[in-house]
Amino acid sequence: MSAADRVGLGWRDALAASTYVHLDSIDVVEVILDDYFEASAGQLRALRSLGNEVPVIGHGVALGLASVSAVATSRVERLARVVNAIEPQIWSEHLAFVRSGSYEIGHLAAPPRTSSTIDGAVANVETVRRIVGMLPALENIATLIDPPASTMSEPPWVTHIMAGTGSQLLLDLHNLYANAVNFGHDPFEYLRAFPLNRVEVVHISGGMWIELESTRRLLDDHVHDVPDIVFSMLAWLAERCSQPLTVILERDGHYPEFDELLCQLLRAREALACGRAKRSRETHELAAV
Amino acid sequence: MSSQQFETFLARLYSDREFRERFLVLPEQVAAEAGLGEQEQRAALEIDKPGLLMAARSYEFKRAARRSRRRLLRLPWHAV
Amino acid sequence: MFTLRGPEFLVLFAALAVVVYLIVDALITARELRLPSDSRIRDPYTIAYLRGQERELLRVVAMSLVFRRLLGVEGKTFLTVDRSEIDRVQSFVEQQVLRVCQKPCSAPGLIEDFGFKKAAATYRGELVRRGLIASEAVEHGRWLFVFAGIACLLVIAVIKIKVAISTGHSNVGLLVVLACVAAYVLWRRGQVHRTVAGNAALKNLQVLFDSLRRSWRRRPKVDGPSEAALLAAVFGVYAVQGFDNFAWAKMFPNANDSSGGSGCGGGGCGGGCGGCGS
Repeated sequence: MSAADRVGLGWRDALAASTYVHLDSIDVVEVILDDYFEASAGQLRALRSLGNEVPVIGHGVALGLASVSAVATSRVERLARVVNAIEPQIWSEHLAFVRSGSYEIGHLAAPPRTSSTIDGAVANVETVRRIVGMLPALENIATLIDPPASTMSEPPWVTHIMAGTGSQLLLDLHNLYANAVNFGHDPFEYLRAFPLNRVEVVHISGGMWIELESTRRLLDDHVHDVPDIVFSMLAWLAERCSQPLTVILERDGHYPEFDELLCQLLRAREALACGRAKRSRETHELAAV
Repeated sequence: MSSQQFETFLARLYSDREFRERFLVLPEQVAAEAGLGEQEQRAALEIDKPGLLMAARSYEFKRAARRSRRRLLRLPWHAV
Repeated sequence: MFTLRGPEFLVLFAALAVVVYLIVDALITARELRLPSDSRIRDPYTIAYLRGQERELLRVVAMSLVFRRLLGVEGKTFLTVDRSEIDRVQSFVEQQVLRVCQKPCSAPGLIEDFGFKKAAATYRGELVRRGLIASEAVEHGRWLFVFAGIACLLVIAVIKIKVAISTGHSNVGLLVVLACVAAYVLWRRGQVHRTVAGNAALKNLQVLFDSLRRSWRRRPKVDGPSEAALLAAVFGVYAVQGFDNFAWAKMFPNANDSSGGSGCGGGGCGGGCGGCGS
């Protein structure tokens, strides 16, 4: 691990007490901003006080930025209220659409990967930056369906959006892994094609294989342990990135004993350290030539 | 190519079960009725059907979970 | 004002007492808000002391030791389970409790123990240094305002009583009672051990963990002794599910002090995003 790498956990009510008593082992916590849209001033104050104990970053889940439709400013304003109250070091959202017309999908959906949705995402991120006062990091999402009408694959689509918005990338390794295996790519080659120099935050999580009419796909559900390959991908990433990384373990249910989650955090630290050590050796070898 | 209509068409496919079932039975007709352009209609006809069904089921579960304010108590899938 | 009829004067006096209380409270608050403070506290025992001083500290320490099976409960007394564990516990206050309880000891006995008091004093000292519990200087400042407020109300009451008696009215009992109640309420304001910053720190913790506490009513679960101690420190031992409240109530006869507010309801589902994508 480089000195500035951090490893942390999503802040969840069910884990709140355990997280708090183990803050010595946790460098950062990530709060779901949407959970606090209806929060009172007292609740926001309490969340801000958490930031006195441990660095807090924010994560939005329902703006639907990657869309040809303009993001609803009322939603952004609600998010801005929370961001301004808790002043997270970083906040992020997803490269997804969640609604269109009068239809609410109910969760994150991959839009068609086209120049139109790139333009839409860039415009929406600018709107968000203007209202919130801070650029979000943007996260790649997992998808069970190959987005129809796409004219490009995910890595260049994400790269164009990063370039157009100036945002940093929140790289969700399990989402990337799921998309790679679901649609026939080698995970490491797929990872290599992403704009790795823009990665600021990394999410790690787990999922499970599901089957429907003889089609198997990996579902990113956040209620399973992080698989070994994701840790390998994290080490691979740490080897190739020079910038500090903030790694967040996402777990949303079926919680194991908290010690098991701490073990997964430890594995993340080890993966980062391993990757950084390799990078350091390679740098020294190059310098010696 | 990616219009507002196509996004709305997708959002409806993911969230409206009756519309989706009708699309799977009469894809050309439903795509045409949705006001999609020629390229978009073709893209709709080539849609990843197993993925569509899986995604739709996943979204349905998440919408229901949000409505009942319960977390994922029972996953809608059998793990394989 | 002093020539008003009795009932009218009582209403006026009650309103005046409220105003005086609000002014005294505002002056104390304004003064304490200017003081430096550090509200970063994570240790459950420090939080317990902040909430309810020695009594709450003892409750949470004892609960934690019972939870870890280092302390047993026999009737209304505690007894150390295994003396060899005493030197292995890292916390000084836990060591003191286990030492004293090598022979059966009641909660009142523990509270009065010199060793326990010495251990408790370290928590008080830390909280005073952090500006979360009133120091002597802060207390002196409070008493100035409190006594000024009490003096003001008593002078008004005494003048009215003299006027009433001089005009042949002897039914001043209700005014005396009202004045005593007002003085007592003001006096209690001066007695609050936490500073404004201390109240805010405790309130923030109670709000932060409020959803967890409410979810216990549906599905009680405590992850471990540290978590139980933290939640007991923030909300009181009776908030920890799965705890033998009846037995505990026998040892600590007075109702659990939930001073500091009970956290606000609503808002925050805190359950995560449920997976990033379909």
